[in-house]
Amino acid sequence: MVLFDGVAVRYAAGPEVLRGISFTLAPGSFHFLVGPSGAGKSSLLKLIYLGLRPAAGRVELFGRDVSVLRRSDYPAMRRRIGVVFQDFRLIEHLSAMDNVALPLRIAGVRETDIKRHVPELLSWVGLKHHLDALPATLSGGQQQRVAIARAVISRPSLLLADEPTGNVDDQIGVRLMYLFEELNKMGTTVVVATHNEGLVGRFTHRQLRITQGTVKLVDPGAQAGAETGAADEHSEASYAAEAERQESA
Amino acid sequence: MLRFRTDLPLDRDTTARFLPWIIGFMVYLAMIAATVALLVDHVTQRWQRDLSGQLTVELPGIAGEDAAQRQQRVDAAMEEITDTNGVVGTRLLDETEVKRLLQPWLGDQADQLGVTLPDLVAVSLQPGIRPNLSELAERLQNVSPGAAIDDHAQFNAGALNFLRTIEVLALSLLALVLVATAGVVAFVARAGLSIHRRIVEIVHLVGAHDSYVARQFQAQAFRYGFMGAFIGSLLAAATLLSAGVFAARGAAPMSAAVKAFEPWMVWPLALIPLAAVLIAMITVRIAVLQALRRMAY
Repeated sequence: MVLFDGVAVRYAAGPEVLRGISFTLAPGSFHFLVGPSGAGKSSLLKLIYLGLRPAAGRVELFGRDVSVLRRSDYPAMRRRIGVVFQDFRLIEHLSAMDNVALPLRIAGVRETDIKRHVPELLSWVGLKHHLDALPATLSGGQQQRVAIARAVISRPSLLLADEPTGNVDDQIGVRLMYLFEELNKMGTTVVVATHNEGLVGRFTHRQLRITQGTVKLVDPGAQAGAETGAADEHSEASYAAEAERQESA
Repeated sequence: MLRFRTDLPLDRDTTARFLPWIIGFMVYLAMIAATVALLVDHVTQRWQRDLSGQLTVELPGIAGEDAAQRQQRVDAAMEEITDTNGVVGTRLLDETEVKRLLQPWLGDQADQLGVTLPDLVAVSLQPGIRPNLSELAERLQNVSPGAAIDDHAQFNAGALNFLRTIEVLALSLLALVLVATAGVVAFVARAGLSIHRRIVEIVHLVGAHDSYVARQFQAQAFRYGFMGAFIGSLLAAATLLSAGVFAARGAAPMSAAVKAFEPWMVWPLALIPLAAVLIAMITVRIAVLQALRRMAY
């Protein structure tokens, strides 16, 4: 699904924010991307949703090397990825309904289908009475739920969520995580970036921990951690083997 | 009027707010320029056709000649002219007509100057047949010494050159206006793209092709272009109708040209607003796609 091999990220002529990042995300897996604020979680997600090009290394997405993708190939790839942005990135002049419908309209889905599916999903995230509300009239938590609904409305193969519970209370946060788990059970690969260790601790999903620009894999289920990247090729190989096992399963 | 659902709030752009009026002004100028070009072309062709079908033969008086001799000489000359291949009619201008023609040079008192006025023969030619003028001139010399043939070639060439220059200027203005329209529209589109960069990024990130974004700008260009074309056409029609009314009263300059307006000319003129809308849409598409290719997302 996603493969990083010796990837580095640098903004302009600055220092490398991330370096030697190597990992594989198997289809249908669920990962937390954990690290303190500013560790590079958003940059790593950007690499996955084609919002950033790596300064070094190779990124593969859905089996294709992104460095050889043409600009016209991006939309098809992005339609398979749902992204919940940390700052929501809702379109201010569009209603909650239209914001959520955006990926469907872009994909050319019929209006009759849009009018059936979008209210259904907004009801599910507790916004049944806010279909026509503009983002500015919604609370932070409500906006976040609209952003999540937009990310999942087109049933993406890969869901990336950047601090999705940052603006909601714990109860809603956990409920949103259950939503992501439901999607995961239906086959969606999920990556949730968060610095909320408390939330991460409630689940047993694998963790990609970013520290000092490198990524370390932690598997709470197996009570074992393995650092990925050039520094620890054995761990990377083990994780890749596990990923392959999941994929074949 | 003409509202489309768009993800980009392009209607709120202050830079785009005056676009219909700018396009309207451009369409107005283009229609006036095109009308001038059409009328001048039409008048030129008609004039060319009329003048190329006529000759004037001047038979100067001969000193000491009495009236009978003069009449005999003029009759002989008329006979020579009539016998020429391609000539379909001759008419001897009477004294009053000759005086009127010479009035700008000799004034109202030509009689008192003691100048012998020449006899002038207006000759009508068969369309498409050019008589042998040098041969005619030779024959005329034999019957009426000093006879001169004026086929208006010199005047014709100068006047036609002047009219063609006006026509080229009008067409150049038309082209310039259309290019300027494209430039303004491209500028507004690029400004809109810059203003809505954040939304453009969002729609890209949720899977939009560049053409999806371009279509939104095209929809706006169509709407504003249509409004501008309507405004410009309305103003141009009002101007041309007013010119027609004044021309009918003989008051407008170039009234002959204005009177030459014919119903078929409406069709080429009607293409201008349509062309303006098309140019606006195509320009916007090209400008937006070019700008998007330079964007990181």
